Amino acid sequence: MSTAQHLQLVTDTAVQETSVSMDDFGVWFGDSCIISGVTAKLPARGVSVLVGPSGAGKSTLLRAINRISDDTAGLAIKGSLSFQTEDIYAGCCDVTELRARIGMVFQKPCVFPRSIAQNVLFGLRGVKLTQAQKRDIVESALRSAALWDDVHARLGERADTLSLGQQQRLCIARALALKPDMLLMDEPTASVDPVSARTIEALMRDLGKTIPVLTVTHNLAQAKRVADYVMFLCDGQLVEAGAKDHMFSKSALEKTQTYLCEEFCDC
Amino acid sequence: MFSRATNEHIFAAATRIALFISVSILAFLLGAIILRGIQAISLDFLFTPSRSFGSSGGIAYQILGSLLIVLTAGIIAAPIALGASVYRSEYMKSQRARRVFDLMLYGLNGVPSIIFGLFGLILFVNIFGTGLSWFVGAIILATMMLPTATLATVNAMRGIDKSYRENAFALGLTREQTALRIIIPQSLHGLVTGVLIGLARAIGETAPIMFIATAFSGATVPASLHEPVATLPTHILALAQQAADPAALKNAWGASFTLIALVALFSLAAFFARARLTAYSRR
Amino acid sequence: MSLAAIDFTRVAAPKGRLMRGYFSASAFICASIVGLIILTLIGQTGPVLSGHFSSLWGTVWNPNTDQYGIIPMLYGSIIVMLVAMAIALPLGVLTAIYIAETRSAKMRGIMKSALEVLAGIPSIVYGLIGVAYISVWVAKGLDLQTGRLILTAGLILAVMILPTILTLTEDAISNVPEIYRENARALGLYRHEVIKDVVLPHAKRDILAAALLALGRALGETMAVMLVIGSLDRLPSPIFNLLSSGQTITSKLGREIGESAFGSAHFSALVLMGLILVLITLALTAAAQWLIHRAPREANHV
Repeated sequence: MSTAQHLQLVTDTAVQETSVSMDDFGVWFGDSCIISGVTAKLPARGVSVLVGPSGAGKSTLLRAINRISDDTAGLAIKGSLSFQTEDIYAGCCDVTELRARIGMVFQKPCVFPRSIAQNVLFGLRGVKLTQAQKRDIVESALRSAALWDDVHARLGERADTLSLGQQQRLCIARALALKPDMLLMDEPTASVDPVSARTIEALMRDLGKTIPVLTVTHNLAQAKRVADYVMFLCDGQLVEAGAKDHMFSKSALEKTQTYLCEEFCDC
Repeated sequence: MFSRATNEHIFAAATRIALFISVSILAFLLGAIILRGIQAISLDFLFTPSRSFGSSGGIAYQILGSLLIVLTAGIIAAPIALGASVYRSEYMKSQRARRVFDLMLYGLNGVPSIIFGLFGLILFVNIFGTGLSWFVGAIILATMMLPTATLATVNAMRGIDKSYRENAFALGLTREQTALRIIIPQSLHGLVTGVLIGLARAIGETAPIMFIATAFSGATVPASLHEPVATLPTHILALAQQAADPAALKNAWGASFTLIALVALFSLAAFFARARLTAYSRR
Repeated sequence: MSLAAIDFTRVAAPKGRLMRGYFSASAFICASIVGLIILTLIGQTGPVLSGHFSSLWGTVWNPNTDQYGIIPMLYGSIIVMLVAMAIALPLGVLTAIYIAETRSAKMRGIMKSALEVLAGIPSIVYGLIGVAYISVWVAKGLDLQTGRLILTAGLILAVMILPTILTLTEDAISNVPEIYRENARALGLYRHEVIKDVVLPHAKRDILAAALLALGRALGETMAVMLVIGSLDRLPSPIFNLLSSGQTITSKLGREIGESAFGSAHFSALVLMGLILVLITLALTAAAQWLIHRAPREANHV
């Protein structure tokens, strides 16, 4: 066990509350270990970025936080992971409700073959809403996703007529419509055009002001642009985590230095 | 109506119950056929002729008749299926023509089996005046097998890499030579598999042959093309209609078991043919 | 040896034209049989259409008095098919959902091979099972004189088309891309909501095609129905009484073709029913094919 695994993110004085805290957290697929011994705390506000080479387990870690990985047969969890104060892998946690509280945006935009408005409202279940309330929710979600100006005139059109970048923002709006307590993003800009990617980055910064945003990226330049905090994952282990400035310029660890500055990793 | 979580439980229960019912039906069918069949079957039963309208004796001639009629059908269907699939994949260039051709085959596949019996009765037995004839039965079963055999062969031909054709043409081979040297040898596994699957289905068919090719009792080995034979499915039909007689019913189960064993034999042969010949043609 | 001694001149192969003839003749045979069947049937419908046209649309079938009402048989075919579908469709779709959504490759494999075995059982054997078990159970369970009823025929048909519906529906559901399920789940949808609002809408066209194919099978099935339906050429009374004996087009053909004289009005009326049956099943096949091969959905993601 390297000492780095027990580094905590709470080095910055601004971070007092935590959203997600992991304690010796690990994920196994059958006999092979994908993530092990991750101990970290994520702040209650701001954009945290998970970086690391491919295969490091970034997506796996992200997908464990809203338990979307439950449906992958053969995955097993070790250690504990708490969201706010609740241990989400304890028996009493309602997975469906957890997922409604933690929004998630995937790498590939995936809209349902329905209207734009229906897509936004898709996750709102079990709540009685008037038409006016629905309209308000659609508008505010689309506004927060910087999509309202593009689509307000054609909310009834099918969502798959939108461009990919717009579809991805619709996916963000869909998640925001549920008023989530946190937003997970799995390389949200990887399959959209550069202009849309910039819009989405700006969006992340905005959203980070009110809720914690955790995003996975391959793109270190993007990490530098959007991050408040950076977690560096390599080969299933957390190498180091800390505020962006610390990580990009003052890290004492050679591994962090090499990866974040030269984008090279030999682990 | 209910809360979302309750609906979730109701739904989960409904799918479980459905699975349970489906599995029970499956188990019951297989259990009944195997248990009742094994009680009725013996070497003696398989190799002696039937007596007193099937309620005693065995099913020797029925097995023979069934095999004769379907194997002949296979021999008739195979070359037609092969030729048609070569034409479909090597000569038809327009997508539209292919769609129409496929639709005709799917249509043929969907024609109810009793209609084939009616068709054979009108065209062969009456208009051509053949009378009851096992060979007419084989022709009719062959037409029923055509869609399965042809579509399987077409599929195999579709899998052949375009570069084979291009190289053959570049060497100056004609379309016919290419078909003969390249396309047919490489798609033979499709034909064999398709014909075997067709045989597995054809041997269980009753309705197409019951008016045109079979006799319920007394038929033995046919001496000419114009004689009826006894077959397993029509024998089971005759016995099922005397189901009140336990001896007849017992023999019906024995014949059913034998019939299903033959179906399984052809299906297994198709399975192995696919595995073996696919590997061979890829070499 | 010198290459100069070899004559490289190509001889036009007469075999080529022969082969070509063989290929096209085979294709012609394959494509024209359906038409030939229909023409053959049409050719025999003359006697009843010219002589007894008005009696065709009645409810009485009695060849001795030259009454050939086909309504009871048409009704029988449809009602038996409806009973079968009402049982097999929900059962098949729910079971398919369980198998597909459990995502266990092992279970899928076992179920698929079991279904192939079931689909391979000849219909006459289903008939035997109907005679030996199902009709007996129905008679005992409902305390009736006979178990050879419309209901029994519907039950046995339901069992026969279950594999078709189950296999095709399971394929359709498994083919829905996982990404849709994942997105829906990430929004906090319960499993049943994911299936109802995402999976089934996506697979509905293929499920509909499966249902149409199963319908075609149910309408065309002869042997099993013939053995258990009781062969009564009358409309049930009251009309939706499933506990009455009945007759379908196929069971009628199976029972009476052998007894009617070729060329008679009786034979001709039977052929007419056969023709109606073929046209219905062809329409169903065409509709199913159209559903399956319709232009693929517009690409809505990369």
